[in-house]
Amino acid sequence: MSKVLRLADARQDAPRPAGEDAIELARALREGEAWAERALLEQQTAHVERILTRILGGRGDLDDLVQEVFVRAFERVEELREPRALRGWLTAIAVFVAREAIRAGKRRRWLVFLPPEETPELVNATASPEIRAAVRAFYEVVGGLEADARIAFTLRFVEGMELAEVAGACGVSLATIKRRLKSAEAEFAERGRAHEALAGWFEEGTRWQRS
Amino acid sequence: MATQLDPGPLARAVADAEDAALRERPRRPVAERLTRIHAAREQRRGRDTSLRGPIAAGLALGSVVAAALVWPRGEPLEAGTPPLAFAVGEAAAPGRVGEWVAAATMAAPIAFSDGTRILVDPGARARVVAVNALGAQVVVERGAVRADVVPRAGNDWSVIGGPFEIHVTGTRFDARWDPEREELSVTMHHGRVVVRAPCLAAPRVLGDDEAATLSCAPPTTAASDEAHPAPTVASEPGATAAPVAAAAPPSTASAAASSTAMAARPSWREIAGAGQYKEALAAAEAEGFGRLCEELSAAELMELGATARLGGRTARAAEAYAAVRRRFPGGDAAATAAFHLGQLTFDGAHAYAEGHRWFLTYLSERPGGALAAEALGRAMEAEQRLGDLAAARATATRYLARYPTGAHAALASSLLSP
Repeated sequence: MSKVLRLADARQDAPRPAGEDAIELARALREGEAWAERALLEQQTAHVERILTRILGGRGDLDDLVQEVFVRAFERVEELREPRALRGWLTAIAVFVAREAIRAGKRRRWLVFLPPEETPELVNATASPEIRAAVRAFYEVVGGLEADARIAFTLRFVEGMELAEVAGACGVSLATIKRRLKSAEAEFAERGRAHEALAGWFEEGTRWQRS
Repeated sequence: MATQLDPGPLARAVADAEDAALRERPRRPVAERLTRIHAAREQRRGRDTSLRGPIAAGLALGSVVAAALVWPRGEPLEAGTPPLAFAVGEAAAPGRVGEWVAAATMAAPIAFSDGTRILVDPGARARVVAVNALGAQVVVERGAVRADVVPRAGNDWSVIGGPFEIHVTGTRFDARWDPEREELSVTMHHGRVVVRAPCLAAPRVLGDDEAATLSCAPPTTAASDEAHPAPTVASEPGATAAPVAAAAPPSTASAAASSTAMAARPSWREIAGAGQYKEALAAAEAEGFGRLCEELSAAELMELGATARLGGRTARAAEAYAAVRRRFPGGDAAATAAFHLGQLTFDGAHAYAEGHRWFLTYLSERPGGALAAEALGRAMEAEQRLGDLAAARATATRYLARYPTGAHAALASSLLSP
């Protein structure tokens, strides 16, 4: 007797790691197949939004930046050498777009007021005033780091990426990323402790404790 | 070895706050975002390329510039512009996304708020499946439509017939889709369109006064298919697939080739890698398609299936995907093969019930897989086409719960609206 399949029988599994799906997706993206483009957006938009937000903080132009990441991804899909590394490849593109946004912002620093897209959005309405102040202050401090240092620092400590992942996203060696992180962390700790809104976060026994 | 990381309370607080804010943040539907992405790409190509003169007569390809050659008549759009509205029929009833427009004895217009007009011929059936500020997607199930699209910078319109997508930026043309013959006919009156389909090695560009008839259907008198008929694809997912015929002998032409000559020729994979899918499939058939189905790895069989699919040979594609499912059950490749079998039967043969079963098969094997959203949306579409509106509405509810801004969200919403 043939098995009757019902949609309700489908289990809610956790997302599976990339496998043959990723190979098929990469192949179909190279061919410009519409279903693959839709699938890429469905799967990866949240990840791209998160990477950009980790690096840049809340941005009014996040949609535009996310769009830019996917525009470049579709244009450069031929460069995806290992389909199973699709997410890492997309992360690297997001890092590139974020770096451009950081440098574009620094070129406008002569303006007295920041352009609207760079004014950090408030976090969600249920966040406490302390948290909101901490997030705002955090990005004020990391905003003072050099772009590559800021990117490595936020991907490692806020996104929680492994060192090898951070190196891959930044397109540098593991040794380089370790050096970059070491100096970024030291600079962040020094600036952060001096920031009024962050002083209470640098307590003994936690990361970036006072020496 | 992974390094244990304790990010500390500050970094954790930042991450948690951002995650909460991102979860609450509204997101544009996938279809709209995709339209914007393509519009941005077109605009860049328009800036990067230079005009090379008027379009030559005939079906020349390749050197035609990517940008529209019609001076925009419409006003440029401003950020935040709402989606276009549209009205249907001579009575100008408000249009709804996903709703079919069928013209009985008189042509039925679909009139958009920017002045664009799609005229559905008598006997034809079409519907608007997505709409935003830059344009819309119109699917022609059968028959002919006449499109008169107002040119505007950033425009993004598509008319879809079967596997073909006609991309329009500002044009007047007729399009006819014959589902029985699986043929798309396009007659240009003014402007330029780009036609894409999985079976086309490269997009086809049509300009002023040009016409073309395109089909992805396999030829009806192919010698190799007569010599090596494709086995029946299993119509009951989960059951053992129909046994594949014994390894088919190579065709007469290739049998005459010496082994030295065969070794010197590029393999079917190399030819496919160059994007020459028809030629690649011919090379695969010369090696013995049935033998390949029994000997290739799962990944290679998927590649063979894709080659056949992109080469317009749906029967061979189905044969390859069926072999994957029979030889490598339970794996990622088998699940993905089910998805593609769904596409082949739904899009190619319009066998909606069979397509529906394959999409459900994928979802039962990979509920969280990369293609789950697309499979669920297609299953919903199949239920609608089969007239099972109760099932379609139930699936629509599940779809919107999981993918509120997914590519099929508009259809799901239309199914659930009173």
